[in-house]
Amino acid sequence: MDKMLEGKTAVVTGAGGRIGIAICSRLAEEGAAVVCADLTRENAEKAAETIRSAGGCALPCQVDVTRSDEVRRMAETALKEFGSVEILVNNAGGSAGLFHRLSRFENTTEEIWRRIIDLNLNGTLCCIHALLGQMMERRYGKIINMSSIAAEKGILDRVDYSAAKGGVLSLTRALALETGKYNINVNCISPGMVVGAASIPHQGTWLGRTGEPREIAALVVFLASDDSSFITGENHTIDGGRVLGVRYHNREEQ
Amino acid sequence: MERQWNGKNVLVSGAENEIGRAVARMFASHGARIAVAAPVREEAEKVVAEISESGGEAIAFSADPADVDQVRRMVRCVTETLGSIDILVNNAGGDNLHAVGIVRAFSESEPAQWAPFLESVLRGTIATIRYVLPQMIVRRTGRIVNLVSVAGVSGLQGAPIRSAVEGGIIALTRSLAMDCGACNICVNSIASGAIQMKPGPESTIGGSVFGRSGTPEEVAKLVCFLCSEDAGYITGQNYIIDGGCILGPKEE
Repeated sequence: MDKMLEGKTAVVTGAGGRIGIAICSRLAEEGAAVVCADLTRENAEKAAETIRSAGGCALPCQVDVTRSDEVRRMAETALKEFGSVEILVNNAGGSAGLFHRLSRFENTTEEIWRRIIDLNLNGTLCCIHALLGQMMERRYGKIINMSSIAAEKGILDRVDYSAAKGGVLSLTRALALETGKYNINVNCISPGMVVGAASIPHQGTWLGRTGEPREIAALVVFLASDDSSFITGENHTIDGGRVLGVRYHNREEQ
Repeated sequence: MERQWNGKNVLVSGAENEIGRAVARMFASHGARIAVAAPVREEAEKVVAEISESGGEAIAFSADPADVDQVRRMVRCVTETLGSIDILVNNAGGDNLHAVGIVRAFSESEPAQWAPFLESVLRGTIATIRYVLPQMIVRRTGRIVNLVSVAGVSGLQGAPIRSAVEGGIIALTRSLAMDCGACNICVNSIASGAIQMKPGPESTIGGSVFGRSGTPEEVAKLVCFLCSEDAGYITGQNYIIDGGCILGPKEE
């Protein structure tokens, strides 16, 4: 079995989360060395340990993606250790539920929405800015951003998050325009209804189930590989049909 | 990975053009059995010969996509010959301007010029899916990928009818995905643009940010990904492969 990412180095932010660990593992399985970046040292170590115990190559890195100085240091560490970074997966993100509680917009505060925009949008911009230059020099790169079904369709109680992820989607398109001539692909993924480590039945998707982190990870690997070299500036929704279409409403059945 | 489609049966319609051929070849090289369908049997047989030469397994079928009865008979014939159809790739549209021509001046066009799009591409795609679906529903598994062009997403200069039909297939894909989800059937479309069809002129859809056209093999790789076990949570989507040609205004 040919490994698709042999000799490549990937930086994955939010590495210790459910989806983050799955992404790190799949990238490593395909032969990439993975810099496992996370807000907490513990999560970064956890992701790196998962890779190492499977025989892969990993470097844990504690970083707050909203702090450009820390992100620059992460980039320097990655480049010192591995020489180059070909793949950047901007997976760090989240909504107010992470540190507060979800609520209608009228009940949220400026402090909360600034944090959400900072984490999801500025964090992504920071990481790209820190690693883009060396990709341009080598005329090779794969940037994969995590947007959300919230970006295209909106989600209740997540006005700020929807706006931030919409920003991620838009920056993906504009950046792809700028980086095409350097042979750098920029894409984003919009996952929906990935709630646990395993798939469970759920009527909120047309497939009748939730998604698994490994399914998101497989899409990341495809977009990080040379199999997708003509795909750029695009959003890739993977949600089992969570936000697909309008349901037929039969009044007589009620 | 190498033989990931061992034992799977794939029907590729419109296999006579470069993208269809590339899709058929790629599935065959990974172990699938291919039903190669084209309007003209000789065209299908050429692709089958190519696949057989490289050690793959394929059988030729023919049906004029504009003739619903022929499509129905072709699908029945494929099902009887192979036993089942696990994957259907409809290559009715694709980046295939030269085969069907552009209606340049819509205001002067004749209904006969719309016919290839409305009858072959749109009705042909609908008919093929209609007759393939029942056995997928019974078996509660299946993948359908409809190949269209970015004309259906962004519009294409000089091609309003074509754009309408490609957009129609994208909308068909979304609605079908809702109907088929409960039966574990994923339905997606791929809109391609700026794909180099060889031998032949450079794609008429320009503007790739990479300064090159894409290859039919690159489209085939995306088709294969969407039909893989790994992609089972993706449905009702239109994935675009166009080197960024539909993105905002480029540098002059």
